[in-house]
Amino acid sequence: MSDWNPPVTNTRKFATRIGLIFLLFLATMGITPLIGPTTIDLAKALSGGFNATDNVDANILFLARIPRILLGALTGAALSVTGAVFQALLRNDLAAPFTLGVSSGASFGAVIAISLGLNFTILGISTLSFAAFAGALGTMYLVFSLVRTRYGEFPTSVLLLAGVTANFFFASMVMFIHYMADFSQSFQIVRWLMGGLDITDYQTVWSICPFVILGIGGLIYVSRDMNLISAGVQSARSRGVDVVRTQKIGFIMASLITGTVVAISGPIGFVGLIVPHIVRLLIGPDLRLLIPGSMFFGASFLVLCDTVGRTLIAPAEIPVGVITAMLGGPFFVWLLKRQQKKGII
Amino acid sequence: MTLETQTTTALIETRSLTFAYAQEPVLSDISIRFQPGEFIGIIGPNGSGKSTLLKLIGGILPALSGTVFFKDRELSRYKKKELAVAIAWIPQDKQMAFPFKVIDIVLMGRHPYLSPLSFEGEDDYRIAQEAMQQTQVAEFAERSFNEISGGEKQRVMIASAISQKSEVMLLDEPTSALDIKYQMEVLNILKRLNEQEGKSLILAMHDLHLASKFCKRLVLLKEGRVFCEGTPAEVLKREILEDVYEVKVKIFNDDEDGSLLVVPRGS
Repeated sequence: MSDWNPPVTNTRKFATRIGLIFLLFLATMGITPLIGPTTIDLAKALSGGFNATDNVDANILFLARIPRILLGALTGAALSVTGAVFQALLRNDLAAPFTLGVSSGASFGAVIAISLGLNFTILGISTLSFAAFAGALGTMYLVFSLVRTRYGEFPTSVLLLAGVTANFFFASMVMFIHYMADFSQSFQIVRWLMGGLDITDYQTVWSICPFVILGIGGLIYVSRDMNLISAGVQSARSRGVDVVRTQKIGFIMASLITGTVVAISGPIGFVGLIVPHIVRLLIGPDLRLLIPGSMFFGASFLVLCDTVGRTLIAPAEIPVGVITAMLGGPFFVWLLKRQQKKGII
Repeated sequence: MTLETQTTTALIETRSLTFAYAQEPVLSDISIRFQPGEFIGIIGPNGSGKSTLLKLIGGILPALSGTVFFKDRELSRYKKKELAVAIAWIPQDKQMAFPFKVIDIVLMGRHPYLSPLSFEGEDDYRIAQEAMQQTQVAEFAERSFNEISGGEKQRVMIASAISQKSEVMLLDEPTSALDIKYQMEVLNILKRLNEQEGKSLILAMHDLHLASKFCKRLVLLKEGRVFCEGTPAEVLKREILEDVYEVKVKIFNDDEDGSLLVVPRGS
């Protein structure tokens, strides 16, 4: 008999690793506000209180950096958790929020709002964001309802194909609208399509926060059911998982959080692909750990990428979407080669 | 008296079960009864509907028409987790998209007993440990499922089904793609489960010799219909098999255990 004694060692190992990821998150959130093209004096920034308009250091810290970092953390967390969930539900580690057409749908909504000149805000959220949100969720709905079989299942390969098709279709629509747009609209469109986290108020952060928390909470609630689905749909059913209900909750919640953050930050690619992979290498494929792990790691990852983006060629800024895409492209190729070697594709 | 036949309750009963993929009929008018504690083999040529029949019995696919009863109650009237406690199913295809460890897979059998948001407790680990000992895979517990051999995978899947503690176990070609050593290992584990714990087993099988060696009763399918059923000696007859498999056969009897060896004849 082997002297295998799992519960204690496993739990401890995982707790340690999640703990390390959480520490990375805390460190990122603590240190990045202090990094930037302008050096700020922390003591001075904190001395004047929140409303000190003449305190430059406080203004930079509280109005330029912290809202942006909070948005970055929420966006990174949402995209990464969505990636982890899509990969599990589709049993394919190339699945990501944007593989399924979310980003192009959001972009389509956004460019329509820009070209129509819709430019007012409701509850601190611009019409542009609403349009992007509607575009993202609309596309997801379209893709999923096209693919759904009469047993309520979503065949993986068809779903990925439909997602890619939706991506191309909406991308061409975006190009068409872009082509017809005037100069200033054109600039706005390009800027939106690059993705960015530059906000200067807390209202935006507070208005998307509940959606992201609710969505991730819902996903954690069905995480063990999704684990079983990731090990095989029919096996999951024979082990008592309500597959249709779980897929519904999973896809709706994941689309909701992705749509929410994409509406504000624009299409920031590859985060949802890279982060779940790295975290899976650290703590394994169990979503009960992978979801919280991806949440904290993804938040740190995007905030760090954005910090690089706003300091590298300061005072100019590189949009964070450009940074993640530059990291993500080679990563995707590496993943593809690795799958080829394993004989999966 | 018809009263008597009505009162004998079958563990599983199918009534005029029909199934089709797209327009292609796969099963038609399947009505069979399984008693508790049976060791049953479903045999038949490729495409005769063995795997599909298992999936319908396990409630994994919904029937197009007809009904499956478990203890006189329709499958659709069971809650999902209740059904998992009644019937476990082991698939033929066993490649995982993700690097789950053997212990993860075995613990998945505990799902019907766990509430949402909970992790497996000490009891679940103990049950999983015992299941792995029964199928001799405890030493692989921490290995990645995708990296172990086919025979080991099959034993891990059986351990997972054991930890599910269901009354019935359905196995889809548990010995295909295994060499004779692993075939015997797997079937002896199943035999032990059946004889010592009274577990009811229904196997879809390809190998007629192994079916006759281990199964107490065989159901022979042809083109989605029950061609005949009975003991191995009743079903594995030359004229029946030649009709169903459309090939000339010779049947040898192994004097030691009475198992039957079906050999194709001529060219």
